[in-house]
Amino acid sequence: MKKTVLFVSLLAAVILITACQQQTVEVTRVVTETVTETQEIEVTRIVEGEVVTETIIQEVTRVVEAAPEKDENGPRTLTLFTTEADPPQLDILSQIIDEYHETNPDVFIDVVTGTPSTRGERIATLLAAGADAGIFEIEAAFANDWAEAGYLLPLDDVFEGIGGDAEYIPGSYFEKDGAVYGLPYATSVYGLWIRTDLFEEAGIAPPTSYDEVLAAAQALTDPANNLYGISIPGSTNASVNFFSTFLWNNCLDYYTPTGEFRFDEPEVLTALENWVALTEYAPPGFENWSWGDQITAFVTGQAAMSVYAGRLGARMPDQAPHLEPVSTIIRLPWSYTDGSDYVTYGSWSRFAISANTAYPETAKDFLQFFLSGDRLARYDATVIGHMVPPTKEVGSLLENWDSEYARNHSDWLAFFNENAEFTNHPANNMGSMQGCNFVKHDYGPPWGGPIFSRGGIIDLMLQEIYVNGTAPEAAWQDAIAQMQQVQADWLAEHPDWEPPTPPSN
Amino acid sequence: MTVMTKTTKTAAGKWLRRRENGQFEITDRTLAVLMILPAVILIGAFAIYPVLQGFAASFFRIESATLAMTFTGLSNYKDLFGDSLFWESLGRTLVWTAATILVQISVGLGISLLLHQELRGRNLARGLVLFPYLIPAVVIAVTWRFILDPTLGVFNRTMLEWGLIDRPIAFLASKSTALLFVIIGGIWKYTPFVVIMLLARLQVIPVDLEEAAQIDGATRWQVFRHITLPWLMPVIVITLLLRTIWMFNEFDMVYLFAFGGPLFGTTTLPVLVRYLAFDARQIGMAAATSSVMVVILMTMSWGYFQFYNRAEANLN
Repeated sequence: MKKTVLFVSLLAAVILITACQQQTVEVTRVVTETVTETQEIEVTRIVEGEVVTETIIQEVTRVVEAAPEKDENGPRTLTLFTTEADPPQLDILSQIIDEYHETNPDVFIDVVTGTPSTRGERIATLLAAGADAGIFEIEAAFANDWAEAGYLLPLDDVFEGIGGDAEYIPGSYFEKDGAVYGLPYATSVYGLWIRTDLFEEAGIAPPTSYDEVLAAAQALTDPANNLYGISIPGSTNASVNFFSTFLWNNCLDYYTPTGEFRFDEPEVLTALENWVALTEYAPPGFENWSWGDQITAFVTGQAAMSVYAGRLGARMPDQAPHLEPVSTIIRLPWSYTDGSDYVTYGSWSRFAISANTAYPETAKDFLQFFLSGDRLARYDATVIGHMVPPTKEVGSLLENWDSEYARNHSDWLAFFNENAEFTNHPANNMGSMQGCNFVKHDYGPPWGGPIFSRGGIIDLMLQEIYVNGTAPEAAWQDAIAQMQQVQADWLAEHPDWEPPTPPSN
Repeated sequence: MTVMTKTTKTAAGKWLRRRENGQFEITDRTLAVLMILPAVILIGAFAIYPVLQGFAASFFRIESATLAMTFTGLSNYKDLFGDSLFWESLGRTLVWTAATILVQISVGLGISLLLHQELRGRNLARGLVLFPYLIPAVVIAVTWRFILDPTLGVFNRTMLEWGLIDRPIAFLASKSTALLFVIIGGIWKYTPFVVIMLLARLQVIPVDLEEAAQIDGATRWQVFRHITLPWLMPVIVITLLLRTIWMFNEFDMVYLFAFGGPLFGTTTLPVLVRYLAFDARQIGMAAATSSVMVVILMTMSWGYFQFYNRAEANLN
């Protein structure tokens, strides 16, 4: 008996030690080299009243990726981390992987799923440990830090292979210091869903400005018939994003592109008061409503207008087919400020590749295969209209997709494609409103966590007003004090921080 | 046939001993250590190490993007104890834990006593009573959110039709009622666990004890008070201990009901840890909060074990 126990224990110990031993992976480091090229630039000048065009030849030095050190042959396994874990999405992803495997029989791809809320920390743990994180969805708020830390593989060749700037929607991919590190697969484009039948019955035209949307919300609110003018979610996991669209469409923002505080401008208080005025016509309980409740409010006929992205439309055939012919989506009619660019809420979901990956060329090859043509179209079509593609090619494919929904609502799909370039996110683009112009630069305020996150300062400011009935000015002043404190604390902890170079207007 | 083996102690006599024939064999002490070693390794790797790592993290400021760590000493604890949100969350955690457990134990005891009786359909009832415990928390939370919805929910609709209220009430959007309904949901889901535990114990109480007491003229209350309850007490204490730990640490039911809102009105300590780690991205603060939770739970567990030992001693 004792001999058996001794033998089993030793065997278990050997297995444990073997299992715990760090796996030795042949890591191919990405080597970069400096290349000097010449560029011809045409310059037009006025010399003594005459227009003179000259061609200047200048030398440009840039860092490019050198050829990989290692020949990538033989069986290779890559991991692909995604938070798109709905069964139809995983099913299509699995089909795409199988198709790739058919032509690349030595390449195996393991799909790892996770949740968006823990995605950043999970990947950060792998990257910081120097592990091979493979292909993964990048956390937008961390993208700059990860690129700076050298965690990400440059993807310029994949970007160019898919079509480069001629194909990609502006602002959809993540670029830093001239190199592309994040390639998008979809975004959600928010708009205002409206019940055209109710508008027609009331003799009101679809709103195009703040005054019109407020008047429509008031006119269409009829609690006796369980109908409310506009549905806006007030819970702490959604509020800030919806309210931010209101600021942006009125030439306002939280910060300048270099981090100077702007939220204390008096126009912000006016915007806040106008926003709160809209919520007077929201269904009871909106104060703790989340994203999904927006859909429920609309498909159950509780709301004449509802702010949401394409998922609401995609749910209609199943949940409210009778509302399909009498619903449409329009741009957010929030503006009461002349000359403001149109901006809506949405954040590009992007893939990146770990710089430490064992097989960089294979990973890039698969990513290019996945993110182009029919493959990406099939993937984005799993929630058609909600997953809006980043390239013109795929956008066009989806507008003409062979499905009943696409045939019935090609106008909705066109709406999403047309407005995808106006998507913005408060935590990812610091000072995106330069005057009344919308300029993205993929640099979020580094101190933004406690301000823009779920349950952050802006969410709580809005809930103070919605739930406790606090006056907008008092809640706003309180939020200003807290935001300034957060920024000051962060700057004190990071004295070496330098403001980013603002994007050109 | 009996084989007598004479052994002599060697220099390493505690762990190995030499038989008369010169071969070595392991001692009972070695055997015991080897048998518990796998469990110790697993508990160490998957329970003790993460707790220690979490405790260590509570002394650092951790950049969430790169996990770069800066030692800050006790500043996370100082900030935590100076933050009213922590104290409010602790208070809500205690209210949630105490309220759900007290009702679970009292209602669970009543139901288990009822299901212990010879009633028609008892087996079916025993099966049905388990139902809420088997449903995933996310399904319960979504269902309750629908039930309580101000405009679509059956609860508001019924109250309106009965004239109990004159307009819909958003129960989960009010700080004064949201936690109450989360507690009701928690009681509904977890009472069956108490029923199972107590019912199992009721079935092993010797029937002759109760019969003897009845022959001696004891009333039903006296039988319950002096025989049934003392027999149940060790299980009640263990159930209390387990449920206290689980309810104190409960995340999914509390979070999914109202996402910690409105205005942190349903934020308990586990929900606060999530908020600090993944929303506010203050990993060090989240680790400090978790460490405080561990200390509170260990203290409570110690108290329960003292009580359990006394209950067992009384029974013997």
